[in-house]
Amino acid sequence: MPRTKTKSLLRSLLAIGAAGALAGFGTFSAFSSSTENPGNQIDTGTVALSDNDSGTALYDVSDARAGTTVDRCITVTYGGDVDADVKLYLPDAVGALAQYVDLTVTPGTDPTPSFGDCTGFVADGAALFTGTLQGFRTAHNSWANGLVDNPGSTTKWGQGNSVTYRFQLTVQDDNNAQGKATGTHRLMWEARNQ
Amino acid sequence: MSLSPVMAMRAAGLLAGMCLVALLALQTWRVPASPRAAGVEADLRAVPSGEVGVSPAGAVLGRGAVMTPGGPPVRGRVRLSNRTAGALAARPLVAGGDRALDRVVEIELTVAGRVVFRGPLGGLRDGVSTTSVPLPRAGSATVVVSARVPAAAADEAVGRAGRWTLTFSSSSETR
Repeated sequence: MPRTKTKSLLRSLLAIGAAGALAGFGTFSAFSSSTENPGNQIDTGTVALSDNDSGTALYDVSDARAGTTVDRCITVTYGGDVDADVKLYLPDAVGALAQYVDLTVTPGTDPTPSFGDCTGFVADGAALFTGTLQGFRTAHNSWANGLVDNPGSTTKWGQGNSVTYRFQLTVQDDNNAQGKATGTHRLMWEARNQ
Repeated sequence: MSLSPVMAMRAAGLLAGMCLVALLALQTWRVPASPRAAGVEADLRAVPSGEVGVSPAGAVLGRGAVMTPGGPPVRGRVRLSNRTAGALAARPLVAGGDRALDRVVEIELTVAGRVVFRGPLGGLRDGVSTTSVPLPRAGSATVVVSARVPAAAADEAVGRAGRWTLTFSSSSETR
């Protein structure tokens, strides 16, 4: 190939390449800048505590005698998604028999809980309370003085935690206990977020 | 018509230049991949209630399960156990998550092959859900949970994520 033709060819290639490159850069040459702060939202957590009583009393005994004992279990479960403290208290006034009823409350676990039944109950350390039903009501009747209890060795209740509470009540062998009643009362577990 | 060698070389040069520019453009200005999923990232967690135990507790569909619009459903299973002293009807309840996805995500619950619920996720919200799973005293049942996003919901689904809890209860004692 003659020298002039080679030069001409090279010039053509250079010119075409340069024009193509300029066209390409020109296409994308707009200056731009942006910034964003995505995904803003607020949602609230939940505090949810429930038990397995289906609305049935843990104990309901008529014509009890001296020495009559009730041994019943209830499982309390935390379903909220924010960590919480849980306290147990007895918010209602109790009748004259309460001072003659011994009460022990023991927390523990039960892998297959069934309301009222303590068959699979395993205590988690010492009793939370030992005394009389009247004593429990006097000492623990609101959130302020409620009995604090956490699952196992934890310091909070988290989602899915369960604790089974064993209530053992015995009517004292005391003549003064005759013809009296405790009256109906609620056992209250209350959760408040930490 | 036949091309002279010079014309052929020029045409080849033009093609080479255009290819070079296209290659540069693709490499330099390629749109970055989105970090968001191409569907709904779902975290559905089974949580026990006082009356109904669940096993296993926690992620039902597997952590970070992604439902692509029109894609196959994601599945999981959870075993329910009756903790009360009698028979009960365990009502499934969904809480939390992005309510905008209530109509986007479709849920199916089956027990022993029988469909007990099929519909939008929002149909399992408290106050809406009327479905229940019968549990005899001390009884249990395995619920198969299946979730999907229909192809028609593609626009609403892309890049969304939600974390829901699934509980079963015959009554609510939340306050």
